[in-house]
Amino acid sequence: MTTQQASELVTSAVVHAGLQLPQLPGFMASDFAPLVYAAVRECVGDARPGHLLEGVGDRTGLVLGSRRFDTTSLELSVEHVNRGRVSPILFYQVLPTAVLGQIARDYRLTGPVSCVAVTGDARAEVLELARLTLADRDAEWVLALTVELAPDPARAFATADLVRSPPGPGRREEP
Amino acid sequence: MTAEVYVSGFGVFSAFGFGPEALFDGVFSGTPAFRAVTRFDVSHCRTGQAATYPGADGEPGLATADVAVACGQQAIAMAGPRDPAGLAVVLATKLRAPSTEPELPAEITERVADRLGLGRPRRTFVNACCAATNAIVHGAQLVRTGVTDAVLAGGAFLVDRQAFALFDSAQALAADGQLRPFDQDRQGVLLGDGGAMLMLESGESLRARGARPLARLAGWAMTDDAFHVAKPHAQGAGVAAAVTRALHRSGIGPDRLAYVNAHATGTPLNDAAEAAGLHTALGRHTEQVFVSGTKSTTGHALEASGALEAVITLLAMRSSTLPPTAALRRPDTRHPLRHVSAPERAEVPYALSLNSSVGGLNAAIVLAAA
Repeated sequence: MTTQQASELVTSAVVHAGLQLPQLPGFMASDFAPLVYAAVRECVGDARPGHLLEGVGDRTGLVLGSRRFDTTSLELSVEHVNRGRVSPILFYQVLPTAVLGQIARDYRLTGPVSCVAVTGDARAEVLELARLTLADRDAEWVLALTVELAPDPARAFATADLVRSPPGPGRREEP
Repeated sequence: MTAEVYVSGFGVFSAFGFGPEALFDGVFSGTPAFRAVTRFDVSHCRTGQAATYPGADGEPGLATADVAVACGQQAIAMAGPRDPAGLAVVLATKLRAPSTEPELPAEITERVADRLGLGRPRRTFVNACCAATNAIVHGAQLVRTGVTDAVLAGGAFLVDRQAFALFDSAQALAADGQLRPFDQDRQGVLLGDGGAMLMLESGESLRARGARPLARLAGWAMTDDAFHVAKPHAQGAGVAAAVTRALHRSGIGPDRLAYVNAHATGTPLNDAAEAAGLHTALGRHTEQVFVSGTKSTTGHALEASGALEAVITLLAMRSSTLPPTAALRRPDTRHPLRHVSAPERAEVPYALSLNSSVGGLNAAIVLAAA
């Protein structure tokens, strides 16, 4: 079942892990957060004046989907607990909301933020959630993100799709 | 197509036990459920206290899915006869490492749905302490937009070694073994078992089967502070925005709000930010609106806390009784609130339940008396 509300795909991006993946300060344990951040940057531009979401941050939501989320940090936290010394940094790094908080801060996005776990097609699921968010008028723009780590780090990837409400009388002026 | 969203049933679990009676007796008398943790070794932690349900301590023990199923069964029974295959389900749960939980998080939802005979969609939210409120918000959106006419939405969490150790490492646990929201001497949070499932249903569906609602889910909103990865905005900007938007969607002003069940984790930064945000959103009405932090009795059920506290808020409305903030002796004076320090009788036409999480997330729902 899907919502009937239409949405408009503005732009998309896919990034892969590897040597070209920029590091993300504060998130050193895993490629998870750097992948998500890089996908957003590839999709809407660097977090400085002129990015695609400038001026609409109060009307922009974030949805992140994945099958397992950050298994690297989660497994590292298990190792730490087993040996009796846990790095306090892992307290937030194991949570997928942490990198979304960094993205929200850097891009000044104050709309709704969701993380959804899936068994199947994460991209289809986050796009459906984005449509529902738009239909409910919780936001006018949604960054629909997915991320999957992999045993072979080179196969890890993240996607970003920027969608928005279709033009209509209910929508405010664009920036 | 838009529909009004009602709560027609609920099921609940906490350290006090299963069902609303056990919860009411504990929370509404202000009796903390904290006890010494025996489920795993806590000898090296700042505290050995958590609000754990004794029946979940054995081997193999109660699992998250069992809690969700039990709460779902209660909710379905309370709501009255209908085909469960027509129900969508939205569950909030915790992310775990594959070595400790081989099942995918969304497979837990599938298993819960299969055991209850539920239909689709089936969704799983994992956005930390806002996950269960997000599940309720998403369930409301599914009903409001006509994707489904009824949905079970909530969350389940059992205190485990991983969560306990991570909170301990961040020095977030209260070393004095008390969770004292909004108290000047608060030292941090304590964890607690918890779960709740709410049946959200359209008015048309209720009318068609001749059922009566328990309350109306009048409004909801989610925001982000856009401030810091782990710390809340000091002035509670995101909290204020969530409360303001949720009230706006409800069609009421702060003057009609009677009660707020606050996120109130007992941590110095979070409680201060939340109180500041409530002042911004409620303005001069802040002094009229009762506020309590019921984690002081149930502990913090993390991903499930929003659902547990939505049920507590609903019980407050239905019983015209406000649950107190336990162990509140010296209220913080920086952003004074109208605390419920002892069980209090009050009519509650509108109430708000609020949650926040790492990443600056905030989520608010407004319940209206039906």
